[in-house]
Amino acid sequence: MANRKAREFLTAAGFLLPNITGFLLFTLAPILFSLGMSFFDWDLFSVPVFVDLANFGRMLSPASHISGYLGNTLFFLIIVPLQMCFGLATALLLNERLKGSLLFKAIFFVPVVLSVVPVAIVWEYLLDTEHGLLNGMLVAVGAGKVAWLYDPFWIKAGISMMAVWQGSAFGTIIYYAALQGIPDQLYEVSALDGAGWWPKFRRITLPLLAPAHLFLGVTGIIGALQLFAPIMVMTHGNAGGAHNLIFEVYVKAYQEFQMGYASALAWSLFFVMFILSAAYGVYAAERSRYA
Amino acid sequence: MKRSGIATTVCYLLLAACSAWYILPFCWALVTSVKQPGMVFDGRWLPYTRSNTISVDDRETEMRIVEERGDRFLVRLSGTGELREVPRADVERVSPDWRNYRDAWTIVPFGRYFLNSFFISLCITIGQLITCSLGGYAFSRLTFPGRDLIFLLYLATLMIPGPVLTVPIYVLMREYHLLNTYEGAILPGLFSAYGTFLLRQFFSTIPRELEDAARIDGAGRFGVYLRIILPLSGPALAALATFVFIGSWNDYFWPSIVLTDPDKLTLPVGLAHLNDMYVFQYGRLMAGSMISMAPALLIYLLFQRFVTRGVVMTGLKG
Repeated sequence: MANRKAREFLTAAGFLLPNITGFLLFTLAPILFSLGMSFFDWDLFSVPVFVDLANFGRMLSPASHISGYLGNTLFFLIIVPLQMCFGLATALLLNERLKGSLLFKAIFFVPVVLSVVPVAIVWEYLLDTEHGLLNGMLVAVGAGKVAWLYDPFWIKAGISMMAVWQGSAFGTIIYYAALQGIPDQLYEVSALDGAGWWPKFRRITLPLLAPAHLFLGVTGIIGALQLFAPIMVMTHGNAGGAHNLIFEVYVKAYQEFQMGYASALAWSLFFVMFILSAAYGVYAAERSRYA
Repeated sequence: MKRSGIATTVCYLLLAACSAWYILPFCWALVTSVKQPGMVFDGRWLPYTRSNTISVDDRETEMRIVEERGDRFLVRLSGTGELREVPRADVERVSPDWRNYRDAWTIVPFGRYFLNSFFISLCITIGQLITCSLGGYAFSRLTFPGRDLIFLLYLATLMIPGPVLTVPIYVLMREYHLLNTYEGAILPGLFSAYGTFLLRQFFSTIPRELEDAARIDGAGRFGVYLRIILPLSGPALAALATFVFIGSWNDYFWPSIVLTDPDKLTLPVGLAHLNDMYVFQYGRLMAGSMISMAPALLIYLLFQRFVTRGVVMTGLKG
């Protein structure tokens, strides 16, 4: 019996070896290492110096500009509800199963496979002050030009718009799949009761999509707080008004080699992310209970 | 469900509006990419090409545009120096100009970037299929001490954001002199807790009886994995493969940090360099963007089913 157990264990070890090596090397060890590193001052070259909580303390000083970066990070949360609303709206339209739905579906799903870099380049062009399509449209309707790429506020708005353009396709797919799972009988029964479109949507569709709301909300928050590539590409590396926490991690770690401070920043970002997604999770659970 | 005519019309209008929101930026970029250099900012929705000849008495004569006068042009014929006013249609035609593509392709080594991206994404995809399926099988079918605890640990790490991981991985890669190598770009991608989780969930839905029957016939664990579990998991493996491939093909953050040698850059990183080198040269930039979006679009059109299924699997059930 002991022999069989030992053999089973060895088999399991064989199956797990490549997987667990990857997990240890590229997930668990880095987590522990960066946690440790956040208490040290280290420039990659000299001997690390233990500095206790100094890296975290440094964030609190105004010279670190962290409050501004945190503000920019939180600004991008606006992307999450926009993506969810747009994703849900498009999914509902597709779910009407009109003629030509397949074509529309193909169009709506496309952005999910596009690389963020070319999309950001295309959007940089759309948002160009002189030659951009968007300002062209604004001028056509009599409004003034907006300095999308240079104004500290509009750069965030522009990047958010791009993120919604690309990211809501993900929501469309998830909501569309979730809508398929709602049994038609529920709608038929409520139709017998004389319910119109809005009550059906409000009382049946929305509550039954709760798992999709939760999933898209949490992944959306995590994604929005980690927005990096579009900022890097559209501002050519200077970030300007879109300088968020993850951009600061990038600058400190890979340009200034302040590995300890960068790790402390990354963990603080994780903390913010954890609080916000947990809060949303609790909120979503409460909502679905009373719906 | 019955729908009134008005409701149907409204639905179609909304669908058209959403399509426009998705398609217009794309069309605008495409049109810009085939505009003649110098005509990029003419603000028109069609690519006009200006010729430098004009037909005079049925003979093509070289000319130079002197002035635009509304919908007519004032041109100077190069032979006689004569000034003429000609209609716009004589000088401009709608026709795509592929020069931007040629320029983009020769300014930066796009061919090389393609190969790099393809090689790196392929290695990562194959690697993840192997490690995640082996691990997923162990977590779903084998019993060993600490199994559920380890699996829980895997799940817990899904929440950890990228930058927490990349700083130490960068240090590790530097320690082993793997910065600026393909290995450095590939190795961290060979494993994913997400993929392991995904395949474990799928394997758990395969009836145990099939496995027991094979075991009675004398098959070992590895035989069962290879001959029963894997063949029955085609859709899940295809979904994971498509998803991982597109994900690493599009990845920007890690490759941009680990790869610096111009010969080793991946497509997104190389394209971002082009963008920094030729700021405001939108004709070339749009051409470069189109070139780099084409493969993902092609994969999407060919494997649309797997892509969307992959999104749903990693999403709702994952």
